[in-house]
Amino acid sequence: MKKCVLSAVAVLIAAAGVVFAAGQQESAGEAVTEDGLREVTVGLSWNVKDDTLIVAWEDYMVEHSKEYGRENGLDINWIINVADRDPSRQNANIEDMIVQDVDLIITRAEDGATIGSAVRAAKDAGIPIITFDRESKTVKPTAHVGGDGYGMSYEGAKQFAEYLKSIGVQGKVIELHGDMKDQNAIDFHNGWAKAEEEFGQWETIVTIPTEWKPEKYESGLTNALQSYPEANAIYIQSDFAMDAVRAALEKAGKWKKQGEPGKLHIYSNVASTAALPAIQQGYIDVTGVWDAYFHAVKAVEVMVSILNGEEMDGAMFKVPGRVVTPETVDSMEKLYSKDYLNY
Amino acid sequence: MFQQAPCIICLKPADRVKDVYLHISIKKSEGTWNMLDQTQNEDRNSSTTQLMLTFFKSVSNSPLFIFGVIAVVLSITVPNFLSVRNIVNLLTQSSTIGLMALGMTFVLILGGLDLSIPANMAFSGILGALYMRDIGSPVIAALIMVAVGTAVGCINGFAVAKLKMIPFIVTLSMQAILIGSSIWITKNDSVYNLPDAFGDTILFRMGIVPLPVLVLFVITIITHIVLKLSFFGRWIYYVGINKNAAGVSGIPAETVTFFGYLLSGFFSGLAAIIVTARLNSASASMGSENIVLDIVSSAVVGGVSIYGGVGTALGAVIGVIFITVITNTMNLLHVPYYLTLVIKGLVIISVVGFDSLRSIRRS
Repeated sequence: MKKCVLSAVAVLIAAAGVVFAAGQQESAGEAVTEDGLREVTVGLSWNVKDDTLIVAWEDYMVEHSKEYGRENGLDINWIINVADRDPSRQNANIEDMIVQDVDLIITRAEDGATIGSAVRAAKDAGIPIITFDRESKTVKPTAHVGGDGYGMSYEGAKQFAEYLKSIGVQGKVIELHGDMKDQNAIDFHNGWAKAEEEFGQWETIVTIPTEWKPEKYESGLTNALQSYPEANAIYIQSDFAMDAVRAALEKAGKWKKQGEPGKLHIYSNVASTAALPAIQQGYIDVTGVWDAYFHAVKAVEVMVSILNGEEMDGAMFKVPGRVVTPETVDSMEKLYSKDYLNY
Repeated sequence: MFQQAPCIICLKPADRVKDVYLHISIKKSEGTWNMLDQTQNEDRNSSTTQLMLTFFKSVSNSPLFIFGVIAVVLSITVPNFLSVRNIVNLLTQSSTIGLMALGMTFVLILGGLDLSIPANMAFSGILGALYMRDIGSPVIAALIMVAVGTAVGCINGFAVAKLKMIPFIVTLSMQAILIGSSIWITKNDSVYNLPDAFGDTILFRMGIVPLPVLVLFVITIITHIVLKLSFFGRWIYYVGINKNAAGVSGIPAETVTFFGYLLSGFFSGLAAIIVTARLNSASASMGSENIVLDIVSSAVVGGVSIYGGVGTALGAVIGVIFITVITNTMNLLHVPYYLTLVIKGLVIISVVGFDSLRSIRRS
């Protein structure tokens, strides 16, 4: 009985505090800075943040939004959270952003299917939401911004075909595929396959699914090199796991620079910090660049347009990539891996 | 006095274990207070002081009060914390972890551990979602989720209770089996395009309160009553404190352990229904290993001992809300993610450390 009374007292104290605090809460209204800029808050929900590519995306977005927002009458504040690869956590994080009445949400989904319920919740709350890098498979967002995986892969593969032709090599290629269900990985594959069909400069003799896991890059490539000794080239869908590829090639005695005998010719996508030294030193022959800087810039531009009232209705913005080689890498500007090489 | 406690429990199985401890604890503290009282100042032995002493003792044992204080502080200091939308959001987020924590509470009180709960939840959700997507009825799909979760709980229970296998190994292996099976069945993709009726029904709101919150509320009360007032509940505490002594006293320890794990699986199945509805899909990634930490830490924060024999369903759910509040508050305060992990980890270590000290003191 005594415990019940004490619990009741506790509840009463809590309730009193709640009522007091409720009186203190301010209703959110549109704020304007001294410069006449409209203050807006943007929520950025990452699925994970364990790679320099994501750090670069975030930094470029926040940095670019200051100047670009100011030019367009906005003072942009950011709320950023990370879901640690947990789709339920990511949806909860987005719900927390909705509670905070953010003006817009940008999200890179852990799972293209599960993000749909968060997209719907945001839209139901009247908050525009942009999916970034990974598309929603179930519910159409306000807009999507990402790289053009197909175009980048095709253009890079085209240049790789020219390179192989110039040195008189007919390629027999091992393809290190990413997650077979990831749309970016599918686009990377399709761009590559289109170039293969169009130029006929190589034949893909085996495709290894890696699920974007470095250990699978290493074990898959090691096994493939033993099973397919005739292979003379590799297509790496994302070179973020270049260290794992290097380990497999070193074991096989095939980690060679351009011009060295017995070299496996390598084409990769992304130009990550892990791959930059290998590009600079001529281990990787051609690379399609996953342009973090331009992705971020486009995301900010789309975001500002929406915040200033433009209707998007699920518009897709695919940023084309560039192609880099050992000869052009040092002169190429806005390459995120240069900015974050020693991050 | 403390050393005699297990004997009292064995001889009088009808007594409620926690009450016995509480009684002993208060007696001991009162004795200490009285000694100090006599040597220092007799006037302080007034009824007001005794009342205050009793009040603070009870307060320290009342998670509700501590939670109330925290709620007041947060509502004053954290913007939007107190908004109705955030409270509903917070409770909704707590509902799935809450159900899983209730299942874990049975197992922890028994002195066991179930690491397979999130994986079981994901696996059950996937099978139900596949049925729903490819065949139909959301009702049968929901039943499948509960049935699969319970079946997995039965296997764990059989291995631990009858085969005397170590719970850590059994449930860790089960986790691997379930995650592997989930990836294999779904080919690592999500199961989506589920009927709207499923999500609409499960996430139905009664006024402003979503159904999952009500479900958690009702099930928590039922579980609390079962643990506190039923024979089965008392047996769980007795087995958790001393399995051998419980057996000698005529308690069917094996059966009780089996049913503890069965219930853990049952609650995983219930959680699968809500998570699948909330995400409008199911995938292997729903069973993230990080969830185990949230479940165990929630239960422990709520007063469930990892050494067995102590804890309540209500406490576990309050622990869940507390852990959810930490994450929610950190988000509302815009605290960087990694700092949130540090703070959460520190809170959990502090509580587990306190639990450990309490256990040492008790023994």
